[in-house]
Amino acid sequence: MSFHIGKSEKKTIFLEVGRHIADEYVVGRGADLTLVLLVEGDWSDTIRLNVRLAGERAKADIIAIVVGRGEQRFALETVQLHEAPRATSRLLVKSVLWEGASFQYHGMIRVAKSAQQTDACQRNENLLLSDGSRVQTRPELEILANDVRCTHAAATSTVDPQTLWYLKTRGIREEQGRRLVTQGFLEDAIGRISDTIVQSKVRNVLHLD
Amino acid sequence: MKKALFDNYTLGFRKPEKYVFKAKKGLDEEVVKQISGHKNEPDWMRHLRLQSLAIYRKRALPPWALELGDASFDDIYYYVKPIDHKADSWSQLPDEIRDTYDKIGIPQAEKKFLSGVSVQYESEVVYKSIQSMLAKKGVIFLDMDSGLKEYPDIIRQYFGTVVSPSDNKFAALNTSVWSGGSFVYVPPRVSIELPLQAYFRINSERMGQFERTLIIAEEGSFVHYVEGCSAPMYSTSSLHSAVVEIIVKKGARVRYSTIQNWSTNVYNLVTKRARVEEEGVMEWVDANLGSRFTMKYPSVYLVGRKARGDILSLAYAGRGQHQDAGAKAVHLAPETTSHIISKSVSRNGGRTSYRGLVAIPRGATAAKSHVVCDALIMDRSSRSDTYPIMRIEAHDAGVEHEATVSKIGEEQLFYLKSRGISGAQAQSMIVNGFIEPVVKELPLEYAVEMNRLIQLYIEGSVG
Repeated sequence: MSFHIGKSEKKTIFLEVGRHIADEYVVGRGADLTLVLLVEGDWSDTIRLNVRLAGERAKADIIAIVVGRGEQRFALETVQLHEAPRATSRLLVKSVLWEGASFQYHGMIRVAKSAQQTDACQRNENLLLSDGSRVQTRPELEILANDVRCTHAAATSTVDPQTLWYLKTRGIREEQGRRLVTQGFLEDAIGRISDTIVQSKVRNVLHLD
Repeated sequence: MKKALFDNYTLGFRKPEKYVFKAKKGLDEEVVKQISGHKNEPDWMRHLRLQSLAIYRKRALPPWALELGDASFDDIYYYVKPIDHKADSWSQLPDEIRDTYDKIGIPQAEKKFLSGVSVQYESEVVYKSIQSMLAKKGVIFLDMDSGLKEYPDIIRQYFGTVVSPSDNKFAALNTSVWSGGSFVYVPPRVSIELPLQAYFRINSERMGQFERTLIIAEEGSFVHYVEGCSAPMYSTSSLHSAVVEIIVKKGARVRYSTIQNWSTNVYNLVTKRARVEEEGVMEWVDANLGSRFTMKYPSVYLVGRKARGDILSLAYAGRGQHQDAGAKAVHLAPETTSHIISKSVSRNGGRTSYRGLVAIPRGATAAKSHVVCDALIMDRSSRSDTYPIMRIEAHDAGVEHEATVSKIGEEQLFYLKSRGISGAQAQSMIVNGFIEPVVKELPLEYAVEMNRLIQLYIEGSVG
């Protein structure tokens, strides 16, 4: 089943464990959709998020936060499908992985021939916190129109030892320092959620308030 | 003079064939045995060829190579031996071969700073000149067939150890029917200042080329190998499937530069891989301008501590062309680093794809990788794709990947036009600026050629 956001509508949808995910989110002319996805706890299957920008000047913001612990395995696939001209889509996927947790991300921006003046971006950042945490990321682009601006970026790292050392010199213990850096890492994504109710829900689940 | 030379090339030229032996069309055990027998190869090589043929038959095409469906692998000659002896000087070459090379300016280039020329014409190296400097330093620079005859032990030790026949379908194909290519051995602590160059040509209808190149750089040595290709045009499709294996020992550095400019009916399916030991450095500079369809992903396997791999890739796809280029970095030791820069331009309905892999398994601690892919789409009918994979299992790895796809900026064009530069000229200036980070790494004469080619493509002489 697909979910439609009609002409000039503005909507924020929050997806967490147990919520139904539509087969496709269709964003109409001038509509503005924010999708917030929080992956932690009991998610098991591969999560698929398909966003189709079907109307001119449609806008989509996709923010996904993944927190894995123990032996959790998460997989996320996203598609930003641009069919109409002058539409914008932004995607940010952030994962924080402890212990033996693993995360597989597969992202696709597909720009059809008809979607001139598309502005699309896709960003995936992963923080590996333990020896044993793993990530596989495939940020892909398929661009068939020429007058576009599409970017993607992926970065994977652990907490910078120099940052931890700096915090130690200011009297902050390593464990606490690591937590602060992790919080700051996620804050970047949470801060992008304009709907304050959804924002505080996310903070709540992640115990960041 | 250069201009006339390129104009000539764009029309395509071909020469009547002269050969002393030609295997029958298609591929079976008989053909493979014939090739091996004709070359008087040792038994182990014949076995390896036959084994590889079996693997080739079993393996499926990679899922992204479906367009190879129109290439008829049975309708080609897998081996042609052009003349019955090798010439060791320029004047000894047959007239029409020399004439072909004259058109693309080899004697001129040789006058400049060639340190050794090994020219490939119809599957076999027919002309080769090695300056005494190389021999004095103990460097071996031979065609692969002579290498196997003169240094069977070294070849047997390394052949197929970096790219095994079971690696992929085309590596298997190459191993079963290979012919020609280069064998380079650089002794410990020997540094070759001038680039070693080889020119490759295809000049027989439905003829496939299966070069096999092996480069061994011993501890602390350095070599720069340059491979430049261009081919006359044909009406039927031509298959080119090379394998390049490079072994970079401790502290050694190898640079391998390629300019691929086959005519646009050639299928170019190449496996290039380097194994890099402790503190060794491997640099691939890979430019793809020609062919109908290219699949090529130069790889580095970083097996020693602090080994480094740099891959610079450039792709241009015009009408009817698909460049499926990319790079792979596999980090198998601590503190290894890789840098990949890919630039692609698609125009007149051309398609470029970047396919890449960065793998950092557990145990490869403190590894770093940085990948940048930029694509330029010149018009509405062209296409650009990016398919990278990053597999990270070492938690303290640092991996970054960034990519952009865009068209030429209107403001840049407007600015140049306001200075009295024509639209086409402005475009070619911008494209040449875009590919500069890769082109500046090529030897000067190649860089000049590359800029001229881009200029010709965009300012109208070629499509």
